[in-house]
Amino acid sequence: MPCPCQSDTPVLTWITQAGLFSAVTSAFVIQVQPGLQPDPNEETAALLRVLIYKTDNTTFGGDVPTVPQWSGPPRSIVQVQAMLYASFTATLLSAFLAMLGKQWLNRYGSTDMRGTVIERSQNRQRKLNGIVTWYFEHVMEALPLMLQAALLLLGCALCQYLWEIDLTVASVILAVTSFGLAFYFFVVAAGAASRSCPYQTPGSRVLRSVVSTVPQAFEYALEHSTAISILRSDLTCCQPSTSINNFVYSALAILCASPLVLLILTIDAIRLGLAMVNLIVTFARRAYIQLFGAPSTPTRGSDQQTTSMHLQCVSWILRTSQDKTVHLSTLESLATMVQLDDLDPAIVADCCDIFIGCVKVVDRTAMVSQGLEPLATVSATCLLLTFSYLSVMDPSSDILGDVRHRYVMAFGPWTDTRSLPFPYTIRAIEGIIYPDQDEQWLDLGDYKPSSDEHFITAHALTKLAWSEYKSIEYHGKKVPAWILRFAFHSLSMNPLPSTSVVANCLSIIAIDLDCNIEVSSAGTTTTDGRCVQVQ
Amino acid sequence: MIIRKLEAMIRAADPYPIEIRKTAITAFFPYAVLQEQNGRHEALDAFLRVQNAARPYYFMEPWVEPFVATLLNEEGPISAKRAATLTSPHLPWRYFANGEHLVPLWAAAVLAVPYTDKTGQIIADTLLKIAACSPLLPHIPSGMWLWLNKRPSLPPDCTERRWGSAQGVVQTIRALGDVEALTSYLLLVWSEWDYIYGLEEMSASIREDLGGIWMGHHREDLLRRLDYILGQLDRGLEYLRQSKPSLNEEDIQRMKAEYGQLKEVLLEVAREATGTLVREYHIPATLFGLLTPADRCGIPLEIHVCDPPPISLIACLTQPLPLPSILREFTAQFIRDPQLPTAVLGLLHRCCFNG
Repeated sequence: MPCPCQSDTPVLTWITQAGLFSAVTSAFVIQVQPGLQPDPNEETAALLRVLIYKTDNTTFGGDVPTVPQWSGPPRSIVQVQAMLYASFTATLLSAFLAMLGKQWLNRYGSTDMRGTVIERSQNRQRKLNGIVTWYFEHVMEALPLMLQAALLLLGCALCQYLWEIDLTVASVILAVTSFGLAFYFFVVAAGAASRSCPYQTPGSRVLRSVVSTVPQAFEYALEHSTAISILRSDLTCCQPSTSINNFVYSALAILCASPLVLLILTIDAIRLGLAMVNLIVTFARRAYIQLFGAPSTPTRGSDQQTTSMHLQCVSWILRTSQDKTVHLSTLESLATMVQLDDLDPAIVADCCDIFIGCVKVVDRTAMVSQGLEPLATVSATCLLLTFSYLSVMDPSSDILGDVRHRYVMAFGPWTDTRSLPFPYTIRAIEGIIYPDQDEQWLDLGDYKPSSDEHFITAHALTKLAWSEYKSIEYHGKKVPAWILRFAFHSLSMNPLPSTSVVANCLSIIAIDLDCNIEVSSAGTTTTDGRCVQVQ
Repeated sequence: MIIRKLEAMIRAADPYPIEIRKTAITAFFPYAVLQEQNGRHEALDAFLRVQNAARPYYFMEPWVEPFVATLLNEEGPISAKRAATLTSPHLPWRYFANGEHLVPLWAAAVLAVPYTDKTGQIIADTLLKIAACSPLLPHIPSGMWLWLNKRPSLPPDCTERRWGSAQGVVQTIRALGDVEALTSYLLLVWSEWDYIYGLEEMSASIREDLGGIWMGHHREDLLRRLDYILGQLDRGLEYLRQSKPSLNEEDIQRMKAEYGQLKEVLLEVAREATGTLVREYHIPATLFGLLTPADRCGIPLEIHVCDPPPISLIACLTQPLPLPSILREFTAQFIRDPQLPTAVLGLLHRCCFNG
């Protein structure tokens, strides 16, 4: 998962902007502040008028000057000052939060000096997970929002303040503020309408979410509407030429027919209401799960959490680093993982890209670039592992098709890959990419794979066999022939490969024979809990 | 678990599910062989039975070839050869890329396996299967055809019987010049009623290879087998359909005609031999007039040309025993004597007709 705050530059900008805003706002606050208190000059002038009146009571004609009792500031001034203070405090708060954010980011960005690379990477991933879990990104995105709100409040306050003083000046301010507001709404709407629009704001995301979910509720209600279904069936029965008239007549007839119509419409209204309630409940449930985790999910073991964190680390490193040495060590770590729970599908594509980057094609012959043999080997292994895993867990994933496409674009079906130094793995990969070509295991000759290569290939192909068995429905469920040939090839080795490889090969056969077998991320078991027995 | 599944398939006795799972069953093959080599027979037994249950539709995938070659390796253990022998009828010989190299290896392997009725049946079945494949036929070592002299049988439902009776196979065996092997082969392919594909070549072989006064006992064996088959065919359509449901009356008439033709050729050859005997050794035809037609067909003509006869036989011949019995007993003792026994002929003639 990408880090939302890979740089603290925006935070520094926000601090600067917040300071500038607060300075500007404070100037207006100071300007308006006297309006909140009794004006001593005015009181002095009143007293002077009373004094003059005592001396000469004809000075003011019929008017008798009095000393006014101060009854509080004018309402408009209070409103203006409230808005100005709100703007001021918002800018100060955003500046405060920006400083805190800078501090948080400094802590996040600090490098651990102890532990192995994996431990430090896991620590970094833990902090990243915390950032995601606690909506750090949203909190930081709230800072510019607060500044924008402060600016809006300042504009409104200025308009109201100047409206009382001079209408012309106030109109100018009002026009500019209105234009800015309209522009902002346009930007939000444009960002919500198109994901490719560069004017993305937090408001755009919220608007998009609302726009996408509310119509679904209406569609649901419409689909289940009794009245509409009656109308629709009636419309279907009509001839095309008269369909519209018949539709209108039918609608009127239904509306005017009897109390039954009212009952139907009431039911529809209730359904619509239920759909909306359902939508709200779903939304609330999602929010609850986001905040506090899935309530019904049992607490996962620490091993599983570690595995999950490990995979997230791998994903992050592969995405952010371009260093081949880092890739090598990361993929070596990935290759040792038997369980791939919570695998980020993007890892499959990353492995594919790294593998493709290690192999060059010369005269339709694939060969590993000099010095990249270890990386090519381990990336091919990881590609096989992750691809097979993903095909079990999410056979409809777009990543699978994408990886196939990338591989075909890089090598094509006519490229000779026999010279690559990991024949078993590459044949398994090509079996996945080109499932119709089941000759992969014929030209291996006397090649003996290493125990690791053999184990990983068998492990991956068992998963793939299960996945394909579940998906293929041609003349009954079947495991692809090329995977069964792998099982045959492995079982006919002399001496026999390791017990785990034999167990996996027998599992592949058992799957095709429709034995009661379940394949999970943990391995292959029978439905009654026993593993495939190897005598 | 896999074995239990295979046994369930066997119990279901439906070839189609086995056919569509043949790739998986084939993939299980090396593991079953390994278990057999380790002394555990359940896996290979289940493997073989499930394949038998699916016959004739099922055979293993061709990509087992390298593994089969490993099993048949001359330096391999006898257990591997035995496993290869047991599974050889189910191998796709026709589709092997290097079948011509495998066939001699197979022949060497099966000859190394101790002979039992069961293995004999399997080997004969495979031999006919290989022979039915034209590119592989020339590569069958002659020793395998001579091996037929052990007189193995074929499984009752063997489908290779008809393909193994093809013209090319008969020609190959005739080319060996071994009448005993030829007779054994004919007895094998005529073991049960079936279509005959090499009828003309068989007829020619009977005329040219089984003629003459020396071949009486071969003809007797073959005639007995043909009588058995014709008897089976006479039992009617309903009876025959128990083993071949698709059979119709026309097929039966065709097979009757073919087997009848072979029998007629055999009888004709026997008559010619009798004529030769009468003509060249002066045995009166009246001798044969005493015999029933069936006895006449079964007379081993070598009886007249054995030398020297044991005393007991001469004594036997002087007794008033039924002639066919005497002749058969005589044949049983001297059937392999290659000498031309003019003295015995005279003795026989004297005993039978003047004495």
